[in-house]
Amino acid sequence: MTLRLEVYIDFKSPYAFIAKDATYQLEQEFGLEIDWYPLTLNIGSYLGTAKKDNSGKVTESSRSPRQWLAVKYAYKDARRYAELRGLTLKGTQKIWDSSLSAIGLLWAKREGRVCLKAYIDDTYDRFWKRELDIEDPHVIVEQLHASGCDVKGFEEFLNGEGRDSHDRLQGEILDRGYYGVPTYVIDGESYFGRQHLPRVRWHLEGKVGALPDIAYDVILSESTPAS
Amino acid sequence: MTIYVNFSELPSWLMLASLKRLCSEVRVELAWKPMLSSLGNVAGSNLKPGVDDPLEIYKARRADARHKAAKRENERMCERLGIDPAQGEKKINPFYLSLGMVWLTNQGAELQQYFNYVEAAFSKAFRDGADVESVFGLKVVLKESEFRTAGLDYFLANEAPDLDAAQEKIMESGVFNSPAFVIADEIFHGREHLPLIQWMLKRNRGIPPV
Repeated sequence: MTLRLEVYIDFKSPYAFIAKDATYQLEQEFGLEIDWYPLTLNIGSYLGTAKKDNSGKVTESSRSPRQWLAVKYAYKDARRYAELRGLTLKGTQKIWDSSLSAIGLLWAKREGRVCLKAYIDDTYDRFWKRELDIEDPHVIVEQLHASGCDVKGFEEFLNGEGRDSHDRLQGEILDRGYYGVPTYVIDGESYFGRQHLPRVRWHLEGKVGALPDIAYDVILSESTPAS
Repeated sequence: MTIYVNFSELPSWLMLASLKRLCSEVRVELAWKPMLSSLGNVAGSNLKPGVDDPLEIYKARRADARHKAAKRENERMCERLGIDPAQGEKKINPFYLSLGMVWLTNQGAELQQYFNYVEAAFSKAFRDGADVESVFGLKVVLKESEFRTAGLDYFLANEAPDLDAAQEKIMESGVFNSPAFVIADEIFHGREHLPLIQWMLKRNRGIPPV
């Protein structure tokens, strides 16, 4: 039986960013091809909104103290793991609408695995270095082009079929019960968060033995490409 | 390292196995503190009352998805603990079990005694469905874990700390979910961090599990 693993990501999620390489490692370990999907979070709807200036000072905020506590911890937590991996993870200055980069992902999927991986890697890497304005359509076109994708027709796709497909997908994803990133899905069973990678492995291995507990215990192999 | 335990939440129970393994491999002094509540889901409307919410449908769908995922995660946690999902959903007031943990600290309990107490407390609460929300229930748990109860009544009446005030201070310190681990002023929420904590306790030797 062919193993099928769906992975749902959002470029503006620091947790999805630091999970990426460990997720790619599954392809090597199990000889499978991950089916990537965009899950575009509407962070403002559940964690409030905020903007910072270049000095890091908050200039606008609708967040409650509890929401700030959760958000600040999340970035700190993701950053400590990123630093140990040699990744740059700069705090964002606003809540981004990442839907254009998500539609870019759908386009890159059509272009083949090499283009898709290049697009995912480079978009994550540059976004978290604050080098990309992912709300600018031209930036997404440039990202796709630099990733080896043929971008002819992308702008029409972005405003038509791609947008429709993306928006429809977001509703379907929620109705399937997936609401955060990264989410891993095997045979309809979903696992939210990279702490579930021990369980994802167990599932891919045929569920032999007891269900493992959650853990951030990934040791990346040397052959796993760095971001 | 300070460990924060919430007796009303299964993740604190599930943490025990990994923590015991860590303690068998690394020498570390532990301070145990109870939590009465966790921050939980901070999702909420940030709109002023009376304002129409354009994201109302999205929020409802997301809340439903979150509920489905939480239900499935409860099933998984219960599978690991060997209990029925319905047992895992039991609502527990952790107040007396928390006082019990403070009692152990007051009595200078050893590491194994903490492990025995926490295991017995969760097992009584969730597996047996026993009363753990009274002094009587607390004494049963202490006896089950073979920890002394002589002097407990006096302690509860005269020396027990104000747990509500302590809870406020815990939240103010940045600890908001359980289990939590604080090592060298660094806060970790969740048992999934124990591999990294173990690596840190081993003075960062080897490849970090990240």
